[in-house]
Amino acid sequence: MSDGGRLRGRTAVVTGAGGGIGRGIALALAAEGANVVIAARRLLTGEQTAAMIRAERGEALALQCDVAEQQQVAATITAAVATYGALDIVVHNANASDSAMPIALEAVTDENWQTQAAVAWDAAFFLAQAAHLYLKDSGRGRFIVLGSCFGLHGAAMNPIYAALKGGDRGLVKALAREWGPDGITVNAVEPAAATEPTVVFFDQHPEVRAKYLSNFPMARLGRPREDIGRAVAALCSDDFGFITAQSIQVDGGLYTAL
Amino acid sequence: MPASLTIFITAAGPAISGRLASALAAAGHRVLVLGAAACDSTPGSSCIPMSFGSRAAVTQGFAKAAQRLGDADLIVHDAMPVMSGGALPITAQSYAQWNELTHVTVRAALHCLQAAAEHFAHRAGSVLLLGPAMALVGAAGLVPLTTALEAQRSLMKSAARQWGQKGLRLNWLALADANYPQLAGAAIPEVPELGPPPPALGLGPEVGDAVAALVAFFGGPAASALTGTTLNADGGNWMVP
Repeated sequence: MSDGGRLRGRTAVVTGAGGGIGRGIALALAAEGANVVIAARRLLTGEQTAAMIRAERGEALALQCDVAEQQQVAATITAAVATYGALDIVVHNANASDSAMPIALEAVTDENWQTQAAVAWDAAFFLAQAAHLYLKDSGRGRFIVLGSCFGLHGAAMNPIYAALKGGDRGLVKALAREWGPDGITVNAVEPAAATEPTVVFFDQHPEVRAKYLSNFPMARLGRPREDIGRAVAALCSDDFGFITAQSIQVDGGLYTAL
Repeated sequence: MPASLTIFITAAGPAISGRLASALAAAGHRVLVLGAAACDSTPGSSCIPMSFGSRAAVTQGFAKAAQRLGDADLIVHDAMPVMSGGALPITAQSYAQWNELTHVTVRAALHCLQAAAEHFAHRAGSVLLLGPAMALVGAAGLVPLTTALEAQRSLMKSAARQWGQKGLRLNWLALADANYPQLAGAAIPEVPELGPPPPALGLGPEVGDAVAALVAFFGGPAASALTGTTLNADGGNWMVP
């Protein structure tokens, strides 16, 4: 691993780390020396991420975990502590597989809501409950939720996702106040990243890509590891120990209305 | 005197709806409250019992309200749940409490917005959501509540984007926290001010004439250029960006 050792000796759990942004974050944390527990709904993809980390001489443990199930989340946290002796960092990145599917608000059903909210919100609740004491014991605990600028500006054809991400901002602000006395920082990272589905979609619709990217001052989407993962790793380091309750845009300057 | 509006107020609890309905009625507007617990504090003739459990139930409620008062110009949704448990650390919350405060609360708002879009399908209209200003900054012990309120604020923005070209406007009005008995005893943060103590106006406005005038403003032509916005009527506490 070549990035540095700012997280050496620390242990992180990353949900949804079997691909995309979660994988990028897991790789970046490991590159900084963290022991990374990869919580993936499909063990195969989690193992692939772990193999990538080990190939760079990092430390990783892949676990199958459906984050919508409280017992599986608790078991993941327990396994992380049993394996590495402590827990310092939780990054909740997982989203439901249909979270990017366009849907009109009038067509949203209770089932649509529950499917996505279970992965985005219930998992955050389960993670917070299971990890709190360990993060407190760490003395430099980090609880990070992957949000989205959709939560800030709304999204006409993705209202569930936007509402969940808006809610994440509320969760972060309140939980940061609750856990601040325990030395735990709580933040949201709101990325704009070139994940695999995004790249495929833009390759099929180059005209959409051109119009979309014209809104980005940096004229490109972020790379999961180099841009998003490293920002998360930095936030986990001692350099950013006094930042909490924030929603940090890692989006190439897309959202500037705050 | 601005034109009289027809206003439906949907509310899970009675904290805001009764006082707001009275103030709006006193200002000459035609007002009905729709809800279950909300009817506990509102005279029967001014309230229609309604469940938020399904979109169909809310649609039916709006139809009953329209039969009584005519079509609405403005639908106001109180985004605050009843919240019987008070402030509680997240580690002390049961899943049932979490579910009630987050999923049930947001689904109620979702059903109201969907039913409102049906109600305004063929004409312009306005929807205003109300919530405590606390949600803009968060508070310890109120994680699920803050989560649900901020989610509803985002939902409002998505709806504003989707339905704006159909003539439907949606906005959010944040009210002073003291209006919400559910927040009594919670550690609500205040801006650290070395001068006069916040809020800048000396007091967070209570739900009464002034707040009613603001609410009615969102239903009238003066607000025709506003949608997706958040107005903070807390008397000048945090003064958010």
